[in-house]
Amino acid sequence: MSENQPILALDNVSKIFGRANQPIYAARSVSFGLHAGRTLALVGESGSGKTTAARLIMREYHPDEGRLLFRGEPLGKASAKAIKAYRASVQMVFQDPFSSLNPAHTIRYHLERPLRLHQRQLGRAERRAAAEALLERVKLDPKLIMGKFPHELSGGQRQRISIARALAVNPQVIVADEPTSMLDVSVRLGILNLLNDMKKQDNLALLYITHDIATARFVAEDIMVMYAGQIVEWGAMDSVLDNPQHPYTRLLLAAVPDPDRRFDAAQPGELEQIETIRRQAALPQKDIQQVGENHFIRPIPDMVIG
Amino acid sequence: MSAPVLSIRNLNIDYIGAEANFRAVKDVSFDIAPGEFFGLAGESGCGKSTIAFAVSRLHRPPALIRTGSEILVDGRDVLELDKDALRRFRWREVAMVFQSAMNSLNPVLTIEAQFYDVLHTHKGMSREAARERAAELLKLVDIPPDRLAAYPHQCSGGMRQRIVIAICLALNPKLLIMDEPTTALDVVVQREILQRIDVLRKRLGFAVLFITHDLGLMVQVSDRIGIMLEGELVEVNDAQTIYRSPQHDYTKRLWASMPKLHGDQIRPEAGA
Amino acid sequence: MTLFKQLLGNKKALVGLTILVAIILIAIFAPLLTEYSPTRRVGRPHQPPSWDHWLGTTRLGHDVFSRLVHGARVSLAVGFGAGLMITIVGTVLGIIAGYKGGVIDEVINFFTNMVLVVPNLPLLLVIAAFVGQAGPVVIALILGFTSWAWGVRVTRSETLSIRQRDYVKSAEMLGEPSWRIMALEIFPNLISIVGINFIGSVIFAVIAEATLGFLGLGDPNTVSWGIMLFNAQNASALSVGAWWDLLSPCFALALLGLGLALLNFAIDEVANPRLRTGGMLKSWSRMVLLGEGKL
Repeated sequence: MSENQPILALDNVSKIFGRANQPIYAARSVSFGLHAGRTLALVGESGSGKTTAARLIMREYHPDEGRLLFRGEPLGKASAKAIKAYRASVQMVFQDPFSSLNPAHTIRYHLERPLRLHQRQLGRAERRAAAEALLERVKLDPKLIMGKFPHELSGGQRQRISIARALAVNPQVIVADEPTSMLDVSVRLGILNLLNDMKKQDNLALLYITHDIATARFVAEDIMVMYAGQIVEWGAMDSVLDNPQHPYTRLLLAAVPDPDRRFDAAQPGELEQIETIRRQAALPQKDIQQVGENHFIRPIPDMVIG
Repeated sequence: MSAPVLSIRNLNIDYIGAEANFRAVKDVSFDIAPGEFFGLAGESGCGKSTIAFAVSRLHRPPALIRTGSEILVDGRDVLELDKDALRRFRWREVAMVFQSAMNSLNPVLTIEAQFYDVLHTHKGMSREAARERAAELLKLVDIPPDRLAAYPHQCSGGMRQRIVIAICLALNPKLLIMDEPTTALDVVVQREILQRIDVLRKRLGFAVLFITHDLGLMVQVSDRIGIMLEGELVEVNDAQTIYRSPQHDYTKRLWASMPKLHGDQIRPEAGA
Repeated sequence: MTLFKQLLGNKKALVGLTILVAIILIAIFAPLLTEYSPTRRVGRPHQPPSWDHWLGTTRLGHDVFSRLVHGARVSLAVGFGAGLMITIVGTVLGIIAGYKGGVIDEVINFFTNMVLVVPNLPLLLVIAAFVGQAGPVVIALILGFTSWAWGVRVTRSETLSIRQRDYVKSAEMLGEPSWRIMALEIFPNLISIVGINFIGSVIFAVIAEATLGFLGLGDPNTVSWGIMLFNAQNASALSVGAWWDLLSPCFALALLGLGLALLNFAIDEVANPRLRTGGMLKSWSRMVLLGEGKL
């Protein structure tokens, strides 16, 4: 496997719902790769397709078009053994700290189970030690936390445990689906920093899905903007944020609450403009245009670049 | 300030438990001037929603507003109002938009019926008069009057929220309380709605008590901001002052936890 | 488990449990509590309660108290036995239908609807009448086979809502086998529903057995509370003034029902914290009355 080959890649993947004569594309021709040691942010509004992308990666959905590539090999026809290896390599951290842990089980159970399933060679004592080591990695005290039930812990602690659980199987890819959107503001950075540290320590590929673009800038080097199932603009974070080229990206960035800018009143005709942008951005676009060194867009018709 | 539209004095609210009581709001006092946009910010459990509910006296047991608290709307103590006076007070003087306002529209009634409900109850309007008024109000929030015949589920989330706002403005209240009204909406829709509120505020002159945990948004839209921590109001000031020169440690910590979209990024060690 | 600890702290649960345990103990130690045999003539007909016969005698001279405590065994055995069967079948089918979905769900639903549509009691009557003098075991089996449908519905719908939760998805992504997910991820979160289902089924089975016995469809050679009612009715106990003959099994049934119902409320309260008002409401009302605050 070459240095630059992504560990996990989506190749022209589409996911279609609805009937044959009225297909609804939850994801349309989505292609991207996750590289070791790098964080890719996937941003978009609700219904943009970012959750669909996560589910495709976690194999909750299967692609209707295109394919998933793991270490260069297509996953579609993989053997049971390969699927098991995939499961241990790709883990997810969920959005809701209140439903991502089973209220009926202790933290010990949550951490030892993955160890039992994917590291069978460990004996009982080794497993116990490994679980404790995991908690320490996420900055929690095993003596205080191991025997507790999820409802006895705060949202931030639960997210840390979710991360610990994901790390238990020594994954190569972590998909974090809005991991901090349901946490208090003062707790969010701690979790994001933790993800960052884990990524560096284990050389993970991290996919960070969010609607909060400011946090995306904080954690990720690369960014993809999705709308209506398509990736409309992608590339290096600074390039995309400082010099957005796609009208939808510009719309999105202008709408993000920025305390440094005073709230501006609506311009005449602005509403119609927004409607037009949305409508055009939703049309299927095949072409890809490079607008910077690591900066690409799917241009809409009659677009002016620059 | 000249006679404030809302004046909260020494507000103490407890949640009564079988063994111990929990003080959700601790001796909070602040004023809102007529036509002002006041933001109340804080993390979960700080008591901001509790205060919002108290103004319209919407609490249920085990909540208890302690004696000695005063909530004055246009000089009248809301806590002293009897049931009839309270009914007249709600919607007319103070209207509230809830967090799940999109779900506070009755799913089996058309939009027109929802307007009629409020207009008839509080102003005794006939169906025709209510329909006219409803169309007027929908125009205020840029919704075509043909939507009157639609049901809530046929409207998008943003549109439903705008409809709720229109209903709230039906009786020209002096104060509009909004409890996380745009949290469940996308940023673009959120911006559209807030722009509308701004326009309407300047036109109709109502004040807004805006509650949210989105600090960036708060600074952008508010005239003044109050920061709450565990039931206490720790800092109140102009929006820009609070943002650029916060006095309280907690406020400073909050700003340090907010990643920036442009310019220098906050230091990564912050918030560890 | 925390659920049990919470239950023990609940007043309703304690009262209900006490009643239940008392009745169970009485049933178990029945022979030690009375020297009389329940089926032998040991006294004069329709004697009122006395020191010799604590609850009097029946028309055939049997000791009512002895019949009551021995009958408890049968009523409880049928009640709990059938209740257990109903609950196990209902829970297992419900979880499988809810979790697996698809064809399996359709098939289970089909059978559930079939059983649900058939009116329970008339079916019981027909089967019992067909079998002839149905002993307690037969009755328990009949109840078990005909009454599980409602439990499937309830369990299935709860399972459907649980399977959407992230922790179930996490277990699936980890590669946990289906049976483990159903048994160890989903089932532990259903325990309060299963508990309520069980107790409800026991109440139902006890009453159903009593009904069948009362209608004369049971085995007259056994003693159960239903049969006692049957005999008392035949002897026109009330009209001749022998109230102890009829009212003893009545009260026993009512008491058992009360105990079980209290337990049911308690489980519901513990499982759903919003229902727990109790002490809070009292304190709150007191404070409002004292003028310390208002809503």
